[in-house]
Amino acid sequence: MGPLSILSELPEWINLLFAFVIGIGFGFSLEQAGFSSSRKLAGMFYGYDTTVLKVFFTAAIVALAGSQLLSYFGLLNLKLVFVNPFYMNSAILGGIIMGAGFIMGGYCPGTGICALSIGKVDAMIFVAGGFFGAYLFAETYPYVQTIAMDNYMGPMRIDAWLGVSPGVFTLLLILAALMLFWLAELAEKKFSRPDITSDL
Amino acid sequence: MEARIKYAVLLVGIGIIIALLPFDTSESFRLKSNELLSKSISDSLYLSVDQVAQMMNKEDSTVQLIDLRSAGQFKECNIPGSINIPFDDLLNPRWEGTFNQRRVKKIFYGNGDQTASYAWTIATGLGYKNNFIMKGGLNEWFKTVMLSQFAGEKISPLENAIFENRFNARRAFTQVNSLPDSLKGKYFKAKEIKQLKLDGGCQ
Amino acid sequence: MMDQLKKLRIVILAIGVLLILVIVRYANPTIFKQKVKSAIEATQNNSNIITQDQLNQLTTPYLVIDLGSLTRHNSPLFQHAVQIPFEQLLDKANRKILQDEPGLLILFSEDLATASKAWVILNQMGYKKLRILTPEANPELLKYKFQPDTTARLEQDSM
Repeated sequence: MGPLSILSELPEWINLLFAFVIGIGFGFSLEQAGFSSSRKLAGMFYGYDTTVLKVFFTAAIVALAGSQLLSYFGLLNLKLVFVNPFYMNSAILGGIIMGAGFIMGGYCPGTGICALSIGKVDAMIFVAGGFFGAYLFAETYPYVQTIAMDNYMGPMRIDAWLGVSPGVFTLLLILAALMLFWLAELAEKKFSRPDITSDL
Repeated sequence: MEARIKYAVLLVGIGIIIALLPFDTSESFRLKSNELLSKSISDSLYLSVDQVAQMMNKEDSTVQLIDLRSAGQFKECNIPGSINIPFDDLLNPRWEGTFNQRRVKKIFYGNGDQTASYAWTIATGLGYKNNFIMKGGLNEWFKTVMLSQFAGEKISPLENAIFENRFNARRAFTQVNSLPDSLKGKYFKAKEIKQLKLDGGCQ
Repeated sequence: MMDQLKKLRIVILAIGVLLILVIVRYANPTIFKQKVKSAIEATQNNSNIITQDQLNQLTTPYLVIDLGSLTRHNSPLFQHAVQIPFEQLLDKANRKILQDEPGLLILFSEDLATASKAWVILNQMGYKKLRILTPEANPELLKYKFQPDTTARLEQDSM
């Protein structure tokens, strides 16, 4: 299974089986957190429901701490973990477009498919819109290529950029996460919309 | 006490332990010392220059020759089909893809045995598999493949095969390395492009 | 305060277990803890090799480690030598010999490849006073000059 060294000698089909099971786990955890509800997701922007921040940030720090520990015990080869190449222009523009879509539609791609699977009509249209957007990008790629590929900074890692060791960065991120969670609680009290949250 | 506080304390505790981890495993050897030693004592990691010459003649695609000398020495002459990874540049992440191929035999060579042995030990220690050393390096290549002559009147079939192998390798080596620099560049570029097309994917 | 700690005891237990595992792993002597970069840097400019002449002139204490397996009759050139066959290099008794030696450790083998491999392994285990005994000052010198054939061009047009 990927870079986990004890499992890398297994045949291909077992790897795919693991991927399938992990996918089921991901869908399950999104659904049980309530992310099939677009009002819960949009609440992150308006401030009355910060579950999205807590769930995803917790997942991030658990993954970070877990991978650092597995690497220390020799079970995971961090060199094999793919680091996305960083194109600054694309990251900013893409982020703005996706953010706008998220708030207007109330879903992001992963939660959109999650809601689609329980039969929500607005999720179906949202996912269709997502595919249409991807098609549009592919068709107009020759025109946007220069902007999209501009400002290439290679596969950057934050801890390398900050100049700290990965371990110290893990601690910093955990502390930042806990602080954000606490701020999120304050925001929920300030921006609360009991008419919506009681319905969710 | 709320579960959230417990999780928060757990995470901060784990974070502190991780921040204080004494060494960075991604920068050290992945094998244990006794494992690396037992791999190093085997003789099967050596390939003779005759074996390498044969692989070169057949254009064996499961083999990747790696020249560990400087770029200048590589340009002057090198075994056709080899790529140049100067020893000082060995840990550059751009060579990760080359080392990480399990089914391709990677054959290290330098002018002698020393640099090739260093590189072999480092590559094997880092966890990469299928590494080999061309015994004797280019000094042995020149002595045996390029300059050896058959002495004596009668030649046995085995010796015939060996010498034919060497003559073919000699011819290929001389031809490719004698190309003027511009053509040599194009020849290597063409091979690189063919390989990239085989690899596929985005660039 | 004690009340709060009592409530946190599972958490403290988990962190304690993790700490013990981390320390146990660190104390494992067979794991390499050095950065690989340091090995590459130590070989720059051939600074880790020593020739027989330089050895004869050496005034600091040293120990020559013969990595072969055939017993050699005592050569007058090695004043302090010990024979450790390459396969037994990391045995407990031999590691004690290596650790106890205060001077330079000089690796010798008839096959330069063996000594080089041993050098990398010992360097990455943390021994820093290591040298390889070589017959010549620069074993990586190319002794031949390539004679290009200036009338050559590729027979098949593969461009």
